[in-house]
Amino acid sequence: MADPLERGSAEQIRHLYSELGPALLGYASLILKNRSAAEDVLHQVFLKFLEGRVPLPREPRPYLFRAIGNAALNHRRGELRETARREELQLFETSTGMESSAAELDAAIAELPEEQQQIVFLKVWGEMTFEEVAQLLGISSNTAATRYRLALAKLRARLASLGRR
Amino acid sequence: MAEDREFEHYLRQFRLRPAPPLPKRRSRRAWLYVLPVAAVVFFALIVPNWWNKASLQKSSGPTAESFARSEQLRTTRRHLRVGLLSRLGGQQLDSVLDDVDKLVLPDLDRSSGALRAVAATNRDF
Repeated sequence: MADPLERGSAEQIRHLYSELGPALLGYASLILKNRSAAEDVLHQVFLKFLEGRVPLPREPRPYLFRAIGNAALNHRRGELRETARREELQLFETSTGMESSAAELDAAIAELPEEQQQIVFLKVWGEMTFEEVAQLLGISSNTAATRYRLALAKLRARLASLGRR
Repeated sequence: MAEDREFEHYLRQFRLRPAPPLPKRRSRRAWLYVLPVAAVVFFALIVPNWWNKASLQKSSGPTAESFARSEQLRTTRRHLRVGLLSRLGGQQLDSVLDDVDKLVLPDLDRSSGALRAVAATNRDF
């Protein structure tokens, strides 16, 4: 992902979308608790890139997560003025034999404090380093790592109680 | 730490739901192709249609006024049929009704006067 993408061509942006789209959408869903709103935010951000209104940086992954996070927070602020519609978190695909585990993992993640949800998600499914996560959330790397371990322990305990792990 | 890594590996097995396809960006150049096609469609299909409608309205097509008049005549004719039926008791009814139709149907304007005449005759039964 270290390719220099000063002003990404449409193909490069579409490639980034297919590669990072699911993780970015999941991140926006965590913030907004509403998948359709998260899809809107994701499309808004990528359309800006496609229309050339915003140049892509050299390291697009952390930048895109930040852009999605900001757009989702702006959207949420707007929603608070209206009546926010919260949905059950459905981050994971329900492949054959994993339906209940996917739903349980969704529920277990939803029970975590919001910052821990984001740290676990960005580290595991966003494939970001602690430094990148820390920069994105405005905390230190050590804090990110500590909260990550705490969140993993909670998830493990929660899934173990359901007999999944 | 090893336990964390193993659990992390387990978590990664859960695949995220896919993102919906990115909507197509409308290229500015697309207008170069869309505009001429839209113009051809407009002049070839829509304008003649408007023209036909406009010329039909100018010609002697049915108007709201003539429609109301014909409705009124039909109602009168219906009342007349009922009146004749009750008075003639079925005798000569067919021939009388044929006369009524001849009077009423060919020319609605003329028939309104004729109907009044028939109605006047009707009163004499």
